[in-house]
Amino acid sequence: MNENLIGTIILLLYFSPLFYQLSLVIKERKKGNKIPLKKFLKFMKYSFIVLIPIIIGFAVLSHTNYLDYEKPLTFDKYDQITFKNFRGLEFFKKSLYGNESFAYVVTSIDSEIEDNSVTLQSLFHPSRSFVYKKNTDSKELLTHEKYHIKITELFARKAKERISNLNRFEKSEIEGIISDAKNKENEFQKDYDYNTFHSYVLSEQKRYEKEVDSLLNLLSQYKQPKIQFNEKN
Amino acid sequence: MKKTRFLLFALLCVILTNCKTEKHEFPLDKRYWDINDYEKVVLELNYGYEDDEKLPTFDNPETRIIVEKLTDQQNFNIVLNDNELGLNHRNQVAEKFFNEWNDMNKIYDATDRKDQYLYDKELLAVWHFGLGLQLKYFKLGNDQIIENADDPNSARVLNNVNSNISTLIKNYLIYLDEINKEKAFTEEGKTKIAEGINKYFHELINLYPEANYSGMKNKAELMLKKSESDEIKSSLTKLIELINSKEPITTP
Repeated sequence: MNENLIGTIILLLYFSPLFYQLSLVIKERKKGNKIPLKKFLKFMKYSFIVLIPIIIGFAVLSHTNYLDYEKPLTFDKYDQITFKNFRGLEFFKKSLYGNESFAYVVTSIDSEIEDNSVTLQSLFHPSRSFVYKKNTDSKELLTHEKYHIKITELFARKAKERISNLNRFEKSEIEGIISDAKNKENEFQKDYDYNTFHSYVLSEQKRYEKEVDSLLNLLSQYKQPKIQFNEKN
Repeated sequence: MKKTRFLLFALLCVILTNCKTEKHEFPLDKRYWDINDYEKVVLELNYGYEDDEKLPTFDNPETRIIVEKLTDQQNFNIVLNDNELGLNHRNQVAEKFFNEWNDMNKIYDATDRKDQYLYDKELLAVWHFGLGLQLKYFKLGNDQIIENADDPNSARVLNNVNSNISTLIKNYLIYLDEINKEKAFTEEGKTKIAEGINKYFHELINLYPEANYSGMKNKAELMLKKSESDEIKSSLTKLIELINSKEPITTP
């Protein structure tokens, strides 16, 4: 059934007592009877008091599934990640370009700047990542999604390389480097999805895999999340 | 009475919120259309339009994108040219595209009371899509025959391969039949017919230079006498020249 239709029917059913009260208000208004109006306002108040927390609850769960929460995973757990870790809920999107077998991954670059050190690491958010079916055996889909995680790690390492090359500890400059890395990562992720068309173009997928793996290897010395600035810096 | 009014109001709300503004839907935001998309789109274009309803055309800026997407050869090239994909898989996809193309041919074949094609440019774009597709489809089929054969040089394998090439050439000849109906095309349409010969027939001959093109040459010569379009004549002359250039020189 059409999702809009289901939503409309649920809302209509939910607000049906309110509509009934509204019809009473309109009818009794001519007679000067204000009791139905008060009753209507009371119904409206309670209807929204109940509805708003439900909507907020849906929005929160849609963003992060706290009902099946798993804390963000760092890149050293990369090899252990399977679709079982994709714990997010998706209430609205039912397909991607008509394909119901879809998944998406949420990653981020987490940073912490202290007095003379910077901690920078890529994170995979299991409870915000979604797969249409947890027991799917689609290796191609999993590989595609996991390379999103590798891309985030790549840009975290690139940022760490630039920060390590700074002559001295300069907080604003470090913040600029991190922000730049996040923007470039975002662009790269979009290009990756566009060029591989979400793994449909296998030759492009393989090209990206080689490129990302090769760059990650080149930056393997920046695996560690923490960069310590000594006095020389 | 109150309940009836309320129910009517609720029903009206449901109907209004579910009214679709778009009568025909196509996955236009999708970069490549796959077989599933073609199945839906071709079905919609073949049977979803009323008899007097205008189909998507190149001339209409609003619907141009639909016919462009429909006849975009990248849709099959992106799969059939992808060497990372298995040969068997690509063959299966090619076969499905070929079957869809057969159904696509019916979309734009309507004529008016003067026997003029209503959508000649679109019809030819679909034709060109099919000519390009068949080059890939038959090539993949032959590659698979050779790959699966115990002895790729055996007479049986070579026979199968040559038989497939002959079928491909015969399929191409059907395109030349359109010249018999050239009066049904606009001038722009005739130009497109000639472009199709110049592009796809030359690609075919260059791909299989040693194949037997005597039937094609004969047909091209007959069409050359029959056609009244300079552009078509020119393309046929070039085609005959190309076939002649590939024929083995026989010494007395």
